[in-house]
Amino acid sequence: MAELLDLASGILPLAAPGEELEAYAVHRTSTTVQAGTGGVVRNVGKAEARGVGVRLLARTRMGYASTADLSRAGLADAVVRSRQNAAAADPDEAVALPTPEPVIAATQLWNEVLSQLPLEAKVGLATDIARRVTMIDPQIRSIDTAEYYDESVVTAVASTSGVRVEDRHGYVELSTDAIGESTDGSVADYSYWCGRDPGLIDIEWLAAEAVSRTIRLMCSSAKRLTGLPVVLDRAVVGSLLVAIGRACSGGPLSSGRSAFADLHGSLVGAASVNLMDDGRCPAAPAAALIDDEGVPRRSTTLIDGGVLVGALHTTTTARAIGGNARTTGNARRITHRSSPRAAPSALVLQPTCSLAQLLAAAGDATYLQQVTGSQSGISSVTGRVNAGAMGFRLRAGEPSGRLPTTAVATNLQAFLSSILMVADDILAVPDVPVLAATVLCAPGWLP
Amino acid sequence: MNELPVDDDDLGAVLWSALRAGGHWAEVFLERRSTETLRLAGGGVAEIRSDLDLGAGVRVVTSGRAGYAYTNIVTRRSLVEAAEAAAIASGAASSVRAERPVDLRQRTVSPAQHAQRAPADVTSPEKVALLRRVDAAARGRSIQVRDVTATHVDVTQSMLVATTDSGIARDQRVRTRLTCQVTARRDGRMQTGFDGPGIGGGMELYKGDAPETIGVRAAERAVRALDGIEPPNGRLPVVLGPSGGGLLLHEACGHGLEADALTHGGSIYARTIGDLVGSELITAVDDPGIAGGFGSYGIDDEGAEARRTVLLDRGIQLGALSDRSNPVTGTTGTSANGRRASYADPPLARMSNTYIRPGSSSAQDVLGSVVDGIYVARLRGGDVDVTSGEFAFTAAEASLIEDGGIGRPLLSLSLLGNGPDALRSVEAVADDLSFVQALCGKEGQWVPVSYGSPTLLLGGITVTGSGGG
Repeated sequence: MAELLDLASGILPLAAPGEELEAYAVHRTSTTVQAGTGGVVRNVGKAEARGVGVRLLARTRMGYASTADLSRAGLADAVVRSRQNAAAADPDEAVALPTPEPVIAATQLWNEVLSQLPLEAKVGLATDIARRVTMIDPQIRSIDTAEYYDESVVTAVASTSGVRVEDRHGYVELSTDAIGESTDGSVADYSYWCGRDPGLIDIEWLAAEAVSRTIRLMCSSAKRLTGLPVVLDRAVVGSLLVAIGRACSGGPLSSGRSAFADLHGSLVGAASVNLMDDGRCPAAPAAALIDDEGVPRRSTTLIDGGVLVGALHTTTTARAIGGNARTTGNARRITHRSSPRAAPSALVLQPTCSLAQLLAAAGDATYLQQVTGSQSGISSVTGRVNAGAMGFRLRAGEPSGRLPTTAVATNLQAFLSSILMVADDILAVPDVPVLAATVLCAPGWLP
Repeated sequence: MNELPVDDDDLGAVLWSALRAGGHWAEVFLERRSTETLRLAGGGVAEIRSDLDLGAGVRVVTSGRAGYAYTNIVTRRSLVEAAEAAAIASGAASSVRAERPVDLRQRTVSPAQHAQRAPADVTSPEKVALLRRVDAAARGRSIQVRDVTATHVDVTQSMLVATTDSGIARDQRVRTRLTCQVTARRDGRMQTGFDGPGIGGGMELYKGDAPETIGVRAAERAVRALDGIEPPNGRLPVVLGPSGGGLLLHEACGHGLEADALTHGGSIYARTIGDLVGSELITAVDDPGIAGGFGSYGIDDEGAEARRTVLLDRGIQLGALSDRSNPVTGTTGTSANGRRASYADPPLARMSNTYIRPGSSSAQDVLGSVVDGIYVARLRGGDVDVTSGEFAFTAAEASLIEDGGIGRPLLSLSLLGNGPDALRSVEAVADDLSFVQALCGKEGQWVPVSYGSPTLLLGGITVTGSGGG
């Protein structure tokens, strides 16, 4: 680890007088195992990559350059390119590098077990779950892919403003789908687990969950009735929270490209809605102690009792907003190639009840399990939601008939305002910075 | 830029080390990539960044199991280590190593992308000046335009693929794209407009008054949407404008015809090869060899020379998009559709430039044939479940069809349906083929693609709106 921080720190002397410089270095290793039906291993991937991103601030102009060439010449070239880019940028009084803040290592986000797990054990996890899925119910005879993935990331940030921090975190994922075939056609759903200790994976539960979710969509068709309460599966809630998180982020808010622009202090949801972001949360795959400009991550309340009270910021977006705004430790980069932007780390709706209580309260309801078209159909700018969803009728808390594809035509505020209950079955949603739970929405939310 | 820091002797050593470790077949994918991104937002330069990347992925297959390892430390030693790691990951055992020669013949293939004016020859201030023209044109279109974000991205890539059995092939790729997103606001209502052309080429994208045209087009879309009315709900005839049908083909059919989905049994098209799955008016093609296409290449990312694949021939499911890992039963090997986002990713079967061939009707005749329906000029995007074929698309720009022409604009709406059902419902195909450029995501890998279509009439498809706002 110290090697990476030394690498980042070693770039700082390349700053010219009057320039500020930040070096972000990352070293990422990962393993992927993919298995098909019956546990046939298709792919095993091992990866190791390093890179550096350089932000150069010349008074009020910022430039960025990145490289995978970590030689002295490669790093010097990146500084030169960032300087050229800064020269072509417009002056912006808001751009700034963060100043150092103490990092409190209160959460353990690294498990040494991850780096010691042998490859064959990882292959075994993928093949085991792939085999189990087709042994549970005769209606499930195949899968597309069962996948094991783990990732270890070391990041280091050093800047001429005094930041000098490093972090190490990692996680493991196991997922599988299940394909069900009937005379009505084929359907598929998946299950997913994420954590830091592969020893905690309950493979039996994970396989059963994928099968159960698929079979729910295979039961005989039911007619959708309007005016019923709507239960949203974690997958559906996750898609909606992604857009809400984007709308609560500094860049869109300051530019007005947010459905929540100008709504700070306003009621945007039901009184039961409390939305937080906490990038240190151990249940989140990408949890880390520091954000991608070296600021300690923290918990930020975005919606409190239905009222919009917070926003997610980097150092620069906070300065752009002005007033008392300051960074919330939400600078995110996809890789070292991208400059930091304000974005959620781990959004979570605070639970109000258990899942059993929620399902009992729902009674006869519409349950939406999968959403399609969410990437393009849910707009964080206008707030409009136009997507499709697959689900089933819920009678007395039990699935009773697959519904035809249901239109989810609403808007983000209407969704938040309709929330009656949030269950405590919180789980990470794959590929998005969201920890989602089952939600009960009021009758009439969907037309 | 074009020089890759590894010679044939190095490549031979890497491939041989994979075989020596017990692998049956091995491949090296090596690339150098330069990416420049400039973003103008809020009237000023919001971001300028440049990236230089160099790395290699090594794939080894042993008894059908693939091992993959990559590194961005490109030395002979690190590549050999990657090859050995990939061999172990493939389950290879060095005790049963194969003694076979490595094929290092050079294969010459012409690139499909070429820059008339290389992005590297244009300075950042010159690129910023082009973005300012886009911004000014968009803002000048209407006082209702509140925000403009214009982004220029150019990517220049040199790559090679060397395999133990088919020699060494090289490709040069260059692509340039400009996207313009406009936000318009009036009386508390906010709408967005977008335009995002790209080419498999260089700065010629901006020739003439292209910057102004693109800015105005995005602004007009945003401003027009402010007048949008709630769309009707229900099953309606839908006319998809040029390009809209391309996305429908890409999402609702193309992904289902990718070999991994077909061979693993997850695709709704897995059991319909040779069947009529679409209207007889539909002939659909994937062609990575289109000169200057945004999704074009001379060789795919497994070294196979680009070739055209007919997916649907007058509605009959004919071809599939395959890579080396997933040859489809009834086809001959790879269709040269093995693609990867970078050296960090193993190849997947992917589309390139996918389109529906033009018909003989005029677009006006197609529109005029509809009494009560909607016209969708552009789709913003959508998802499809390849197993069930169910899809949901969002229209970025739609209007009522009134008096046989394009009428009042509609607020955003969804089109819900099933891929094969939608393709079977095509009742007319116009002659105005047009392409849209995009990045397509699959398993976390994003690759450049284009999709195209002439204007299409779909007899009935579920339309839903009422999203408020």
